[in-house]
Amino acid sequence: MGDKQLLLALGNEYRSDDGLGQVIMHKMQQEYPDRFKYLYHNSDPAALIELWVGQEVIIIDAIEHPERSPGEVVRIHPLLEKLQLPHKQTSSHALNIQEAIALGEVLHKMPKSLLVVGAVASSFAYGMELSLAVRNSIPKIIATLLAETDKPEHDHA
Amino acid sequence: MSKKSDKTKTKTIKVGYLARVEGEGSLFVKVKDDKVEKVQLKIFEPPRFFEAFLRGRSYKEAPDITARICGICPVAYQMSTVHAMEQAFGLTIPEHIRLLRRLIYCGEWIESHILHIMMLHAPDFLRVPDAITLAQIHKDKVERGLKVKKLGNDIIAALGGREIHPINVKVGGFYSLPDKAKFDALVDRLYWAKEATYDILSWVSGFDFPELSIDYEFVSLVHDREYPFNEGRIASTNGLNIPVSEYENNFEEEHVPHSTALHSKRKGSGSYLTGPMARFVQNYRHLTPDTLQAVSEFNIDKDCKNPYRSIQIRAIEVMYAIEEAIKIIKDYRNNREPCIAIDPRAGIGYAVTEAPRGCLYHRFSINKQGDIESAKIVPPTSQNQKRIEDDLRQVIIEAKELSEDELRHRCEQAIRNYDPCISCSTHFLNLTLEKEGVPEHG
Repeated sequence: MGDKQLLLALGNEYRSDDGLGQVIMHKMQQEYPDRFKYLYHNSDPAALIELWVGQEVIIIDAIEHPERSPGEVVRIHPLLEKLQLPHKQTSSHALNIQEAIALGEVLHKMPKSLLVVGAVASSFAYGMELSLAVRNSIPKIIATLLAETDKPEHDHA
Repeated sequence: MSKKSDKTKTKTIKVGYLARVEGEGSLFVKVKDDKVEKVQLKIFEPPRFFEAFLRGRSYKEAPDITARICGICPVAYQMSTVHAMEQAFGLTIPEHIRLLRRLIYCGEWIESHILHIMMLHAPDFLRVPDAITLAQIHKDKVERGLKVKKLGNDIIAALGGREIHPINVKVGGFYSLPDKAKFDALVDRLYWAKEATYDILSWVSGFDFPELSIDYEFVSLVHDREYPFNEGRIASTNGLNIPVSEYENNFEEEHVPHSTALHSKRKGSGSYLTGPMARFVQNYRHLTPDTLQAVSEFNIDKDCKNPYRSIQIRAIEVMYAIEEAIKIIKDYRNNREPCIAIDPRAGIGYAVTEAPRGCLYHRFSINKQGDIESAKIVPPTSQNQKRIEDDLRQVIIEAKELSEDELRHRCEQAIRNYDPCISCSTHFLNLTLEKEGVPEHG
């Protein structure tokens, strides 16, 4: 097994379900401190491309998705699937993953692999509580993340 | 999308959102018979949640909490917080800590201004839709800009412990100070960045700037010895000159019916502008010789009233911040105390510091245990919101001959002149332009 994958938590803990990334990251750091490299990011996409360049990256974040139910766990391979990821409506970190990927491609600053794992959010209102639906998704998200490290070649991209 | 009513001859245009400005608000413009009847902008949501959240918490927690208000300018929030707390406790910090606070602010100005210049504002002037397209056309320039920006982030990380939401800032100073070698490792990159920023300034100075001159009241900190970051008095080009503790006696926030956001204005007067142009006009004499030479070389008016030229002034401020960072790092010595002792006492503390986007006001009322009884935070984007509306009125009057597409673009550009905070505000700005009795152009 090569370098550890980078678990990149996004979101703002003061915007209810947007805090999912940090909650997951803290749990993973406590229970599996050596499984991943851990990093929290809450700024602009331009900085994101500097953080992920050349690495195997798993982003954890709350997802806004009009066609899926709150709490549903989402697992996306943006580099393979060329998906139009849902645009976050009230993100306070201004993340637009599509833009970051597109900019990274132009500037040749891409991660070696990229996976997005999260849950469909129910609320981005101010507050520090995750919604019940998103809280209930946490065990499944953690299981999804652990399964990624069990893959021999981190073959998610 | 466009629709036209035959009865009212009202034209309404909606665009999906104003790219590169995150805001859950909207811009509504109504033009009737060549007159601008209504301009209603709502892009900013003030940090009222945080003011409430801070109540009852220890003064020690405040710098880390307020840093979370904004992902782009956490240092500004931390700096206003610690200065307000220290004023409440009657503390004066030693010179080496004062300088390090200027240094960390340099990092934030560099990264925030370059982000705005390269990724948000330059696309407007080059008529490309976004930074990605810009990077395809001007890859080397975008790469160079991002390299300068990264240096700003690295200054913050060297002193703040990490580049996003620094954790090393505390009331009274820092939790620890880095070894000089860590700073010295940045010096060569800073010299490179000074040259790179000069090139960026040269590049943006060649842009086609729309003609516009607005009789602003500029409001910023002023200082008798240096270009202001953390200290000074609040002054305006209309003669105001007050200590920061007098802010609320001279400025007020008002509710406007079209928005949940509060609009700031001068008491007894109207809108005002805070930010790089205001700082520059009131403090340019404190710029370094090389920076002043660049001001002269690129014909930047020291009384600049054209908001589109704010992109040049941001580049000037980046050059200044780089030179200031070099000076502070060269004078830095190891083995200094990272902070002073704190003895909390009941009191009220006020601070204004110069966030990249302008004056950031904090007021804290503290009890004798050092817990926060009340907090008031007025960010620069909140203060500029009314001013942006006023700018748009003038922009629309002067650009009324433009086609609707051109006018829409010009309005977006005028809003981006202010670099409205993309993190404090929420998302999506719908632009509605309604014209009555106006022939269609274009």
